[in-house]
Parts: sequence; structure tokens; C-alpha cells
Amino acid sequence: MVVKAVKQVSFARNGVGAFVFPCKKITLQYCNWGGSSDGIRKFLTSKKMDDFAMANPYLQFDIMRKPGHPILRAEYTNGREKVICIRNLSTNVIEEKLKLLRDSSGDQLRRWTKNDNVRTLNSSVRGIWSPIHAAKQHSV
Amino acid sequence: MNKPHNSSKLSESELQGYKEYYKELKTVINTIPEEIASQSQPLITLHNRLELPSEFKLSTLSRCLTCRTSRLPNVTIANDNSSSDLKAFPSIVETNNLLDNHGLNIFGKNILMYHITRHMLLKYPRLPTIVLNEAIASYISQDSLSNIARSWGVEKEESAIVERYLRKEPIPLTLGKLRYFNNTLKKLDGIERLTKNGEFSENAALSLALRSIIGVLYTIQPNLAERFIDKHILSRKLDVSKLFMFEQPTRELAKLCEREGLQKPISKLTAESGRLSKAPVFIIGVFSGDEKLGEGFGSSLKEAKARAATDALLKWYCYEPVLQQGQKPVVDHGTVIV
Repeated sequence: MVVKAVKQVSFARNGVGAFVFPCKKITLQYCNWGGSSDGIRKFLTSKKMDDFAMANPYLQFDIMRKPGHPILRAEYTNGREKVICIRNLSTNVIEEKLKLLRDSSGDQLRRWTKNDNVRTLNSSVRGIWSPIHAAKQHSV
Repeated sequence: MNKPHNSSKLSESELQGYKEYYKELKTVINTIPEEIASQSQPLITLHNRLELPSEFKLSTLSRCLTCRTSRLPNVTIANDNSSSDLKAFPSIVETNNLLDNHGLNIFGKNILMYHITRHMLLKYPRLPTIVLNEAIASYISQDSLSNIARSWGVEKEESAIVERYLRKEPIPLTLGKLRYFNNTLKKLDGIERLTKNGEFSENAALSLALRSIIGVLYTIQPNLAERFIDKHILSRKLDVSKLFMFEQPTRELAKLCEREGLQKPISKLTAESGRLSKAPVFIIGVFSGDEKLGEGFGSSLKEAKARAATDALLKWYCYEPVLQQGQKPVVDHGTVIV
């Protein structure tokens, strides 16, 4: 046999077939005594928390009581987690922070350069321009 | 005098509490009642995240996450030495009443294998067998499958039962986590069971769970399983042309042309640049009669010729037929034998 096979890995493309929500769990940690947890305590007892949980069936919400400043901790399917400190924040801002965590992919934030707008696994359809293949040869 | 007596009494009641917790946990895992499974947050969210149909019960999903290696040893009277249940790691041949994913995994594995092979053969009818096998492996090897399961956010049970008891963790929580051999033995303890085929590893457990989910979907409705495979596994990107390695491409191409009744392939130099310079470029096309089969570049004529032949062979092997309605699938003669 002349043909030989080389091992390759197939690449995951979340969203091409199925889309699996990247955020899987959010832990809301609050303190029952501290003043910095005032906003989160109000948030947890308000209807907002219920509505948010009902609107996001993909997410698991854990509520944890622990002394200290309140935090939001989100876990993602890529194994990373993001934590936001929410001390002294009002209920509306806390909801915004929750949405921020929910909509994040869990990847580390990077600064992409200006020309890096397209990131793809596919090769270019047109191919790469080659001077040798150009219809009209350049002459000096 | 009083103090130690009291503390020993306390620990005894604690032990009793642990025993009860353990027994309850064991019966829940062995039977998985639907009403307890429906209290498990991780299980419900996993079910939602995968968009499984409502016929796919939560208790069945929990069963998919139970590996046979996670079987808990029985609590029996200490002097009953004859009982094999006392063994910490009972043989898997033994019959047990544990609801595990062993059978579902075998079923799901066969469905997966069949569906992927069928898809690959329809899409690329001319792939040589070894390349086809490698292509299938790139989709359903243990590493790929465990990666997919990980990307679903399948959590694994990592804490020992004692720790769970001390934390007063509700029992339904563990039903939504992947349970396999290494649950109670942390890597920190320095104890890890090594086997030849790695059946106790995390990757093995994750792929067991994935295969059994496919098995269950097939029992609900066969096309559900097919759609699930299409969506989650076949949607992955694989460049088939990168699987090939040719040893003698020119010779193989000549044989192929002979077999297919084409004219002998002839390599022709179509363009070149800087032949006498440090960085020459040659473009060679391989022709059969008037038809161009392939093209290659290289910094020497020999290299360009080999690339051109490889290109022509890849175009043959990686052919994707566009099937019209009612047209029969392409059946290939097989690999070129040199």
C-alpha cells in the first residue's frame, strides 16, 4: 500500500451544528450582615432574580451566603471562570453584571488587531494571488 | 472523665448519620427515581443545554452519567468476610443491580460508528480504507468524544462521599454529575489506577456518557439520534486531504491512470522564476492528454513534480459527488494498488 494515513483532530465549531451555551453556572455570593451586600440582598428577594433565572434555563444558579463582600462567579464550558465583585452595587447594576457574565464566552479578553476581524478555520475561496498564475505577466 | 466519653458518643452518632447518608445515596443511585432526579439542578441545566427532547427523562440522563466503575461497595457486617461486596473494587463481570451506562454505551457506540461511517462513505466514496478509518477516528476517538462532552459542561463528581456528607450536600446534586472510578480518590492522594486501555480515566468516562446519550436518543426515535450526531459531531471541521501521506505519488498516479483508462500522465513545466537564483520557483502541471489533473509548485523540478502528482491524487481520492435526486450513490473500485 502506498497511501498512508496521518492522524488528525477534528475541530469543534460551536454554533455550526448545535449551539451549546458557554456559560453553565453562576454563583451569587452575598453576606447577610455587611452593608456592601445591600444591593444583592434586595436583588435576591426581588422578582428580578426569579425572572432572570426563568429566562435562562441553560444556567445553573447557586446562591451562597458567606461573610465578606458579595461576588458573582460564573463558570464556563471551556473550564474557565469569571468573577465580578459587586460590593455597594444597586440591583439594576447587578442585573447588568449578571447579563455580562451570561453573554460572555468564557474566553480570556484579548485585544484583536484591526485587520484581525475575520477568524476562520476555512481557507480562502478565491485562493491566494500568485504572480506566476496571473493572466497578464508583468514586464518592465 | 466526662468529656472524652461525650465526644466518643457524638462521633458515634455522626458515624450513624454518615451511614444513613451513604445508604440513602446508594439507593438513589441504584434506582434513580424521577422525582429525585428532577430536583437536580445540574441535571436539568445539562438537559436544557443539549436541548434534549422531553421524552428523554432526567433519570435516564442521570443513568448516562453513571459509569459502571463508580459502583459503591455495600455496607455489610464486618465479620461477613465471604461477601464479595466487601471488596472496594468489585469485578465488573459480577452481576449487579446498578443502573449504569454500560449497555447504553455499547449501543450508542455502534450507532455512532454506523452513522459516521455511512456519512463519510457517502460524502467521500473514494477514500482508501486506512484513511477512512483515520477520518472516522478523528470524529469518534475517545479524545474527540471527551472533548465534546467537556464542551457541554458535563461536571464530574470530585468530592468523596464523606466530604459531601460533612457539607450536607443534597443527594440530587450528585445525580447531575459524571460519576466514575476516580471520584473518591483524588489525584492529590497520590493514588491513581492505571490500566492498559485507560477505562478508568476521565476521558473514558466522558465518552461513555456521550455514547450512552446517543443510545438513549435512538431508543426514543432513530432520527433523533442521527440529528444529534449531525449537530454535535459531524459539524466539527475535518480537512480530509490532510489525512493522506503518499510515498510514491507519481508512480501511484501512473497506475491510477492506467486503471481508469486515461492517457499516461505527463508532467509539464508551466511557469518558472529564478532558475539560477537562490530561490527558484517552478510550477508543474500534470496532464493526461489535454486534461490537467493537478498542479504543484516547488523550489526544484523534482519537488514540484511530486507535489503536482499528489495534488492530482488528492483530487481523485477526496472527490465529493453532488448527488441529484434519485441518483445512486457513487461506488468506488477501491484504492490504487502499486
